[in-house]
Amino acid sequence: MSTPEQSGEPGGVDRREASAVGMTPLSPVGRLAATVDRLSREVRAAQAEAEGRALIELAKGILVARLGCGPAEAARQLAELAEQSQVTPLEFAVDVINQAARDRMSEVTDAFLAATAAVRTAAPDEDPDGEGAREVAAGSPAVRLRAAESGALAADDTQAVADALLEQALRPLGAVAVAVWAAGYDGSLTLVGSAGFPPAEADRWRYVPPDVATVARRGLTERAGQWITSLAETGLPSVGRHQYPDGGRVALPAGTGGRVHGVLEIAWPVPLAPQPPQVVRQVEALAELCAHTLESYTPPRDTGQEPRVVPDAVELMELADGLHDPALVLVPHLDAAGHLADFRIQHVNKRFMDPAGRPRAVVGGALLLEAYPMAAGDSELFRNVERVYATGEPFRARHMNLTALVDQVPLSAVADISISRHGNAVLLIWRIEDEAARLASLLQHAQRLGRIGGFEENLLTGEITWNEQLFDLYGRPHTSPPVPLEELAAHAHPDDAVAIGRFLRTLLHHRRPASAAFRLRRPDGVTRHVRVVAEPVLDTDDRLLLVRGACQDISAQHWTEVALAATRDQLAHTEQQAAERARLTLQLQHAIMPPAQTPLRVPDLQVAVRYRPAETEQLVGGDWYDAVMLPGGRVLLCVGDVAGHGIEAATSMVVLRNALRGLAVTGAGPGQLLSWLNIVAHHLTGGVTATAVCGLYDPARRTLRWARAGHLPPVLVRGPEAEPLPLVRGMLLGAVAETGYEEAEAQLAAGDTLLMYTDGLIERRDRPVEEALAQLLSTVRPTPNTLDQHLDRLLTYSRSDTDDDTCLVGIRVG
Amino acid sequence: MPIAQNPLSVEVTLPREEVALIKVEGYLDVDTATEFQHHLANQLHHGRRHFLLDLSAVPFMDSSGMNIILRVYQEVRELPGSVHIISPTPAVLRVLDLTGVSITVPVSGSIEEALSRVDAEPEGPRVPEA
Repeated sequence: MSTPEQSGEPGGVDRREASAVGMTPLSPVGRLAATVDRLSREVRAAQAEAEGRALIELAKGILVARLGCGPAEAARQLAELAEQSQVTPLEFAVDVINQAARDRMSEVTDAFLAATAAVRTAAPDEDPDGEGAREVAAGSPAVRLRAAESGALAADDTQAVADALLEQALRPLGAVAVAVWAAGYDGSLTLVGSAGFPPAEADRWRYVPPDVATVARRGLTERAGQWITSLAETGLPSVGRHQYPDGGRVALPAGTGGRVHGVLEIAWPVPLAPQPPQVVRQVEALAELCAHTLESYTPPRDTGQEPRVVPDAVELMELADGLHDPALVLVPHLDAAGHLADFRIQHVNKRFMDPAGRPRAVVGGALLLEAYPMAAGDSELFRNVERVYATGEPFRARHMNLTALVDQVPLSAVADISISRHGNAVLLIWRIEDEAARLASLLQHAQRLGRIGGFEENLLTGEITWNEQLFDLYGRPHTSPPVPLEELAAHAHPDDAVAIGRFLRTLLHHRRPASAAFRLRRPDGVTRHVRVVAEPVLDTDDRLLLVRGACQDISAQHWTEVALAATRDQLAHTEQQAAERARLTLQLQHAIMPPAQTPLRVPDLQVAVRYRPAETEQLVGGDWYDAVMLPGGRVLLCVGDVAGHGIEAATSMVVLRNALRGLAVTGAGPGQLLSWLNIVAHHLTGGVTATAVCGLYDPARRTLRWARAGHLPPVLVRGPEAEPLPLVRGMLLGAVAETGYEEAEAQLAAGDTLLMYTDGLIERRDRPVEEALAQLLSTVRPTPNTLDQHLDRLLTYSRSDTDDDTCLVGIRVG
Repeated sequence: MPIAQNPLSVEVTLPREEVALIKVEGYLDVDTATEFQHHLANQLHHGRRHFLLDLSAVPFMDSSGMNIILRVYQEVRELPGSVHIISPTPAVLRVLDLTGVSITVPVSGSIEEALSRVDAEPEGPRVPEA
């Protein structure tokens, strides 16, 4: 491409034209190419002319201001002065502008002069520019840079800027391509201008989404930019990577006044050696140049070309006032040289509360670093604000440590931070961690259900937050200081110290959620069973920041559980014991009175016995029967019932039964036997009482002589009739020390059946025993053929409603 | 077995200083005997020597209930004191006769009758007949 030339001078022949013509001068394609090239050259020449004119116009403007003359006079002065100085009017114009501006471009121009001089001295033949270019560039490199600036400022789109930059400033440095990226507010990059890259490649790279690591992206975030020796070594993708895989790359943030608008990326065809400071500064100057163009760059929108709404600080202040978190509106504060020095806190919203507790008026209007000098320190708050302002990329972080210096005392607070750029202002929102408050509000609902107290303990500041329920749970006034977790053991039962120690170790050392149950000893002397559950909260640096959790009063639950456990144990034990006792009782019963006893062999007399234990094993008790042949041929018939149930009753039963057998051998009558038996019962341990009926049957006379001790009299079944024998007087056994028993005698006949029984057979609550007996006997009628059948049936149809054991003894004459 | 369906009601009044009139309502059986015994033991503990047991509202009494009566009888006999049963229902009277307890423990038709018996023989233990 051609370099800019002074107006009216013919453009130089560049290599491309020569090669294009020389290659295929006669082919249609060659002709077309030549035509295109010619037309391009004309356009470029016109552009260069315009650029040159722009410089001259600028110089004229300066002269107008300096000399106080009109534009025509200024033009004449310029021409004359240039002639006198033996320089072209363009070069003279540049000198004028340089002197007037005294800006950065001037220093860079000087440096550029030195650098390009060195390059040209080292390799004069490698000058990529053509003759015309050499004419200008060799004579006055300052013109070139100014021309680039002028072109950039005059260009109405960034594409023109890219072209100008490449041709006028970068090719002399050996660069072959340039890309100008505009940074979106979201961190995306848009290729707004490029030169030297194939159009298709540039088109492919027209947009780079946020968070895609490219060379330009790196350049955006690194203030010093990226100076890459060889693109291939970085592995980073970028536009033109395939054209210049091993070439050097430079990507610089393009910013003005501390704000980055985009990135200037420059490509070299070969690896780029470290550049001298002059070149670095020159390129930085070019990046700044780009920034001016990018500043006014408006990203294309889908819906028409409506102007981008750039909220000014006033709008942002209203937005901030509508937020429910503390928010600050920051505007850049530039130093005298136009560099970003600080941010002024333009506005603080109504929710704003200074972490250090200062009034809003003190903070509002102050400079950020003045209000929060520590922001420059560890917290990097300032750096983040600066970066957001520069890149427009929002910053969000949780658990950031904010430090405010109040009277030289650093006060820490942990906050969630949000920083975003809006127009030329930055909105800084922080939410001072009031997790505890939110937790508390949550737990207030839970508390109703579970008596839960919430706490949060900041391990850095030592600040402890309790909700009201926790104070109540601890039995401490709401105004008293909360108890730190570390001191928990001092408020707990000494036996729980180990459990609490384990809990704290898990939580604070292993930094894992933990729980423990302990006995809280409250100041009022009340002991509550408390379950504490807590979890660690780590900050962004993985440091243990705070511990939060909840305590639940589980006293009621605890005692219920303890009571249940004890009852269960007790029950299990008792059940086992009872089962053993019942089994023993039954074994005892069976040992003494086998359910199927060998029939007693007496002439003309059937004797049968039945014993039916209670259905419920525990109720097996003290019933007994006996039917034995006594010396002398009489038969002792007896049924008895010791009061109560279980092993004691069974034991007493054994004693009484054996005693009666022994006493009966004396030949005494039944009244006497029971009298003696009463003495035995009375002297038994535990003051046991028993009832019994005792009869002596004389087979020869078919008579039964009998007496009763509080027991139901025998029943005589004769034909269809069944009648109890008369109720002779007789006190139950064991109630009094000594008593006598009335005797009676019954005459039996052949076919008569006599029954003795215990009340398990007939006892009912709802009717007298006589009635129950009569009802039973009528049911078992007609009298069965055998005595055994009779007894079985009686047991079968027994309608006793008490689950008692039952004994039944029967004799049938005949 | 019915349990706790017929709760025992025991009401104690003191017609004389050492006389406890105990009106029982409900079944006196294995389920309620213990409670009945506690009431009697409590009165013994407070120095009552004469026990008037109004059983007019006891429809049923089994051997457990009877044993409680016998036990208090044995206790007060040594003091000396006495136990009287007042207006038993037929079923209960039947049990008392059957077991022979009525031989030892006098049965009265009314509170007044029982009180007059207490007044008549306050000095010593009653010697059972027969």
